[in-house]
Parts: sequence; C-alpha cells; structure tokens
Amino acid sequence: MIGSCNQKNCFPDGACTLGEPDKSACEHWKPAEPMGEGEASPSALQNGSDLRLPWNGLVFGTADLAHIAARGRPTLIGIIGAPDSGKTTFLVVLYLLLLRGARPGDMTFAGSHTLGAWEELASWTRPALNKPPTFPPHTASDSRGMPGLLHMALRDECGTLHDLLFTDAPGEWFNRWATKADAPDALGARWTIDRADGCLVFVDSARLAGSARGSARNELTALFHRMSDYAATHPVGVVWSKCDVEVSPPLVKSIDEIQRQHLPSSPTWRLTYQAPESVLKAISGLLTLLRVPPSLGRIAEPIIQETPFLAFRGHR
Amino acid sequence: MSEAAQILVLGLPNAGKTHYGAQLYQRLREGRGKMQLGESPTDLSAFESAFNRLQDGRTAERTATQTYAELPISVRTGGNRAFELIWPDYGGEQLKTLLEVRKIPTDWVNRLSQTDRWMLFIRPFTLASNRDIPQRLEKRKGVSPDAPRPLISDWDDNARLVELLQMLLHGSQRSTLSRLETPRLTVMLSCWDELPDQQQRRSPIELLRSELALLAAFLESNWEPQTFSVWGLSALGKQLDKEKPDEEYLDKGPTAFGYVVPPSGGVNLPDLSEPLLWLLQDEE
Repeated sequence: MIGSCNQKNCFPDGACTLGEPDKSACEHWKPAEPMGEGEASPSALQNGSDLRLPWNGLVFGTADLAHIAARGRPTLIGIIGAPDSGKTTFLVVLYLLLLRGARPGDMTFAGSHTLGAWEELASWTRPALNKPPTFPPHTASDSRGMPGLLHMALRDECGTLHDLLFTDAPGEWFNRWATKADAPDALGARWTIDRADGCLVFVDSARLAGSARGSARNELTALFHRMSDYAATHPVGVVWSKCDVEVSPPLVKSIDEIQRQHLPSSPTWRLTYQAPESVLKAISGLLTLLRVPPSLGRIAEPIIQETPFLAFRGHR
Repeated sequence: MSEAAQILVLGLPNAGKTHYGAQLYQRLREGRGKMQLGESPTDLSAFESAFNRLQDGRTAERTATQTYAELPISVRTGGNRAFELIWPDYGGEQLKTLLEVRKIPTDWVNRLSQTDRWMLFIRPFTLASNRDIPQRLEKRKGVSPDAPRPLISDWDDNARLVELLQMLLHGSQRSTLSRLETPRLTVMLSCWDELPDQQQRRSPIELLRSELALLAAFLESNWEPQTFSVWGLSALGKQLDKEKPDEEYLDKGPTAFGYVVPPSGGVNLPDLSEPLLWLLQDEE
C-alpha cells in the first residue's frame, strides 16, 4: 500500500474521485506510513504520483459509473430471463461479433472500459490446452444486490458517442421477482427494472422443448406479467434463445398469446449462437427501439443575426 | 528557423520501431528521399548497434527496457521546410508494463499530452485474434465462479491494443467524446513482407479491418478520417537472421531494401519518410 483516501468510492488502485491528476495532491489523500529505513523502494514512493486509470477493466459497479456518466447519460440495457436461458452467452456472442467488426445498430465500436470483463467471458469460448470451448459459467449471485455491468461505447454515423451498459445478472433474481416483486432476494431484479432504458427478455427454447415445459411456461407467464407495467413505457424485446432446438408449434402459439396479452408491443427475435447474425439482429433491433440518447455533444448556439444586442439571451 | 516536430513512437515490444528508425536515418543520410537531413545529430549511439548489424544484413538487438532517450534529427522537406524531429528510443516493454500495472508514469503523461503526432507500430503477423465463433460449445457442469481471470497477455490482441490506446488517450488527457483531431496518428503495420501474398494485395486499412477488426473500428470511430492513416511497412524488405549475415545486404547495403505501402495500397514506395511527411502535414 502506498496510501489511502477517506472519500467514499475512492479506491487505492483507481483514480482520484475528485479529479486530482496526482492523488498525493488531494487533501483527502493519506500517504502510507514510512516503512522504516531502507525498506521503502524508490519506485514505490514514486508510484503515488503516477496517473491511475478511472477504470480497471472488470465489470462495473455503481462507483465506476461516474466517469462514464460524466460524458452523457449512458443507456442501461437489462438482460432478463430465467437461469440458464442464455443471457450471458448472448453477451459473449455480442462481444465475439464486435471482435469480428460487427456494427450493432449501424454504429461503430468506440471503446469499452470493461474489456477485461468481456475477455473473461469470451475466454470460456476459446479452446484452451486440452479443453474444448465451453459456455460461460453460471453468473454468480452478488450480495450487493445489483448486477454486474458491461460497458461498450458506440459511435453513430453523425459522429455522436453513445455509452451502453448491459446487465449480467443471475437468472434466479428474475424468477424470484416474477413470483414476489418485493422479495429481498429480488433486489437485483428491481434494481435492473427501475433503471433500465430497455430490456431483452429471454425465452429458453430448450427448456420449452423438454419435459419441464409446463413449469417453464408458468414461469414465463409470471415474468411477462410482471414486465407488463415496465413494457408500457419502455422498449422490451422478447428473445427466443437456443432456437436450434424445436419447440412444439402449439406451445409456441400459447407463449405468443401470453406475450400479446402482457407485452403487446414487444417484437420477437429468435436466435442461436450458431447463427451469430441473429444475435446482432436482436441487439440492433432493440437499439433502434431505444433511439439511444447521445452523449453530450458540443452545444452550437445558432447565429440568427449578426447584431451583438441580439446575442443577449436574458437571465435564467 | 526550424519547427520542432515531436513524434511519439508507440509500439509493444518487437513491433519494428528500431528497424524503422535505423533504416530511416540511413536513408536521410544518403539523401535519396523527399526528406533530407539538415545538420547531423550529435548523438547517434541509440542507432549505432542497429546500424552495424543492418550493414551485415542481420537483425538489430531489442532495445533496452528501462531507458527513454530522445534523438533530435534535423530534416528538410520538399517545400524547404525545416523540422527538428525528436525520435524517441525506448524499449517497447515499457508500454507492455503500462498495460499490466494500469498506471501511467508521470513522464509518460507529460510526453503523451505534449505530443500531437503519434506513430503506432503494430506487427500484424505476430498478433492473434481468434475470429471464429465456435459452432459447438460444451455444457459446463456445475458452478465454477473461482476460475482464474485471464491475464492481459491472454487477451485477444484486438482488445489489448484497444485498451492500450484507451490508456494512452486517457494519459494524454484527451477525450473521445467528439472525434479526435489530435493526436494525428499514423499506424504502421510492420513486417509487411511476412504477410501472405493474398493479404499483401489489400490496402493497409483493409488488412486492419479484416485481421484486427475491433482495433480498426476503434480507430475509425474515434479519429477524424483525415487525421489518421494506416501504412504498411517493411523496414528491412526481407526476413533477416539474427546471426547469419545476408549476402545481398552485404553487397548492396541496407538502404537498398525496405519499403512502405501507402494507405491506398497497391504499390511499394522505397522512400521510408513518406509516413512521416504525412504526419508532419499541418492539420487542415
């Protein structure tokens, strides 16, 4: 340790939350006690003034949002669905597509402050020594009650920057929330719904094709019903994952009917990771519905007349 | 009066910075390109070892890690403008360390924020970007939240280079909210001759888009189109050995070899100063 700070959300390995380029110049910075003669290495002493980055590359928590939110309102996209319904795999495939140059919603990749987290997910799908590529592991539940956030910046054709945040939450939260909205262990689901600008709700085709399809349909009905209030004011897309597995037509029809009842204006996308374009289609579709708000641009004051008197705009 | 033009040469280890510097300087000395040498620099020791090895047709040694030296070279260009090029000499390990420790030393912050012309060296042949999306994924059994986090050295090279550029831009205190006009950036795809013929037929930017698509998207979306360019570079013109001298090099001399591929592709230009001339143009 080279020092510490008493300010909330100011971490030893991060940048100064008050924006001081040199942390040791901040009034709240407390340098570490000298370790005694000869012990302190010169490089360790020098480190205090090195510029630290405001992002560590891992999944975002709320404390990490400050520097993204400083340049405009980020768009939060809720990825919602039962456990093992393909939410994380969807995010992985989205990242793998970006690595291949995909342009979600006709926008170009402009950076990410959670590259470490994206890479961590993607590493599961890459063959390692004696290990075949696998699905990413089950997303673990977090006691803080908020989902991990994955960041991606995209630039549209007009040159405007958009910050997107995707939630990566365990499915148990949403199952719990669907049955009991104010359950203590559904805190993370409520966090997501309260803040998300738009959502993708996952329908697990493999489960609907299996022997547990009765309970799967029941859970889905509860989830669609719970989402209906949200969907009245926000864009929601329904995503059928694992579409390489065929679901019996009568069941598809009955799910479609439940969807029409609770989420009447939600479009449906069917996808499978074996056809990665289907993932791109779903995310592009949602981005179009969202009409992503831009980050702050330069404010251009229109010049209507060249008279200095008319430049006065009055007191606000 | 000469204008000072500080150029920040960036690149991870083994990306071809030293070979380019040494070959460029020898050409400037012979005065065959559009850029000519003004007065001789006082201290050439940074290039000395590379010069000697190239004369024999052998590859240069890697540059030492810890040092950062600046070599001023005064040059004249076609329009009779005089520049003082400040050519940095340092080991690419420094940038690699920066990626690992995620802290930017103060002298690098100063360097990054004070220069508005950057030259980034990338050696595409040695980079690994796995562009396949697996057609078959095995089911994972059980929960394994304690799986080791991949080290930055295991990342896709696309992501590693994007993270490096993000860090450098942050260090230079520039924001990508609007497209960047400074730093003016030249990306040099080095060891172009190593690439398969089919890839060499493409223009450098097309190659970058197909081989390192995430990096290409990052560059194209964050820089104004007229302020960044991608060049192919073969500083040596052919593959040399570390120990065994090359006969042709011994006979013709190192300046007979090496070329750059301009952003539009299609031709090999023997004048290695072309990318620098582009970099020295004034911003419109």
